Amino acid sequence: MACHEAPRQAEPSTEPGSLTFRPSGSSAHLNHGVDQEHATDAHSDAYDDAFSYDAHSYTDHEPSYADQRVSHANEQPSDSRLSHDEKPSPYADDDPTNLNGDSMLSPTGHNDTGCPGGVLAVEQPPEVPRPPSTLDKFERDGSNDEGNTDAPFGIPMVWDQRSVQDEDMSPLGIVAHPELKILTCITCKRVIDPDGIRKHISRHLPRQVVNKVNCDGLRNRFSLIAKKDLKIPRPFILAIPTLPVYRNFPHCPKCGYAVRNDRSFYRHTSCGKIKSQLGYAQAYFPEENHGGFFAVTVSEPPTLEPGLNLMNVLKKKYPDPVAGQTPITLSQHVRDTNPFLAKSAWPQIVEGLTGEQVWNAVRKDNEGLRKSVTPSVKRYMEEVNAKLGSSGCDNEGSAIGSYHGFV
Amino acid sequence: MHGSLTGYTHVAIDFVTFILAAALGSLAPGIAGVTPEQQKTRAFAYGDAITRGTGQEDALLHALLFSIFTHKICGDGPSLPSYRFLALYSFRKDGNLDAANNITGVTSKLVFLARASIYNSVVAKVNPRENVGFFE
Repeated sequence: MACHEAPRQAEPSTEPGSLTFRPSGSSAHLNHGVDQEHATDAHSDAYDDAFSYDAHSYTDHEPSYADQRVSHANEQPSDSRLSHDEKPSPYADDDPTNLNGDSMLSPTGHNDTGCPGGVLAVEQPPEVPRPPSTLDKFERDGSNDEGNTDAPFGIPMVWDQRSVQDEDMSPLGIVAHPELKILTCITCKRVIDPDGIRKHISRHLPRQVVNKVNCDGLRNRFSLIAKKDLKIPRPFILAIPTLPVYRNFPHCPKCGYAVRNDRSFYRHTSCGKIKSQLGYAQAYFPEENHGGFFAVTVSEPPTLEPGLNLMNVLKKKYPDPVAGQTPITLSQHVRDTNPFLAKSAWPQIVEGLTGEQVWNAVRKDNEGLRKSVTPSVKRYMEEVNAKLGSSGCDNEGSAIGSYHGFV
Repeated sequence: MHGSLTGYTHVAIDFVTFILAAALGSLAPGIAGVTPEQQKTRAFAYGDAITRGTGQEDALLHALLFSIFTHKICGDGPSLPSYRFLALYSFRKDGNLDAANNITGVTSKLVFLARASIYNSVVAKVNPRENVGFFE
């Protein structure tokens, strides 16, 4: 959207779903989705000075990230005007004064939405009680309040003492693992490339937040290893929190080399000829599907409860009826192209009966009568087979369908 | 006994049992259908023979089958027991209709049984190695 040279003063919005910016010296209000043009104009003025963010309004509105991206995309021309003094540098990491990593964001940058983030403040906002962040539901003792997560096979993502997430990392949705020197994303459930921290966080958070992230501070603080230098942790380690845990993965019991398919295990020759075993496995980048799995151990058994799996819940609630005990009915919506059923009148014979009743009527019932009939019928069939066998041949083809008349 | 002949024999046992039970009234009328008087008389005679062990079971069984397959089809209407046996035998235990090729397997067995009964009646005293042209 083009930037207007004569900005208009936007009317203050008092709706609860409005995102309010408070520039110093003027009052402009940005209302998402209601008056976007006015809002952009107001925002252009607002960007002349530093802005502050009303956490209450943002939390009440709960805009989606798509809304935020649209909003900030509209603000692009305004940013271009701020390139001299007030525009936040996209390379904030290069600032030598910002290597601490502790003051990356405002401490109030939290929301209770599904994705972490939602921080737009660079000034000290008013005192607002901190809403729970994404990781707060994972208790420190290794279990969460729901008992299950959407991790594969219902294994909860255990939040233990080996992982670090301070108040500055919580709104970014990232967790550091100092022992392994890696950084993981909670939303994506994968390891973040140290050279692409800003790029990865920009997937989930607005640009204003991303620009304030001190990526160099994070790299130096946890001595993060580059993606190309990552090594598979061997032998077995405890499952890394926030990464999905897979079970029934063939792995080497000696070194923990894990593969998705057991037929690919023959490639593992460093431990000699060894037979694979099934167990739990993880991967740094599970979505890439190029291997890199390693065997892990879990501190608690997998949860087999229905959990969040919708199909399991439905199956438990509505069990399948026993097919043999369901009465046979002719569907009214069947399209009988060849009206065999209508002509043969078979549905009228079996309608209302269950499959077991039909089966027993012609195969199981009258057991005493069946036993007494059997000897004479057997003799009769053998005699028939001998008489109708072509050319006196007593093979089975002579009695079944391959009869071509006498020779 | 060959495998296929065993299968044919099983179908024949089920069929004869069903016909006898229908004639003797041990099946529900909705399942058994209506048994003609001629078939009922033959069925009574055959049942009496296998109960007493008179030694005429084979001949009476042949008479019963010939009375059923006189028209060279499995009865002439849906009300006959042989026709109902064919319909009931075409359903699986779960209540679904069996595949068409399996139905054909059943009907082929019944047709073979019918053919055998008719053949035995017509050419019982003829040397089977002679080509009488019956099936040609």
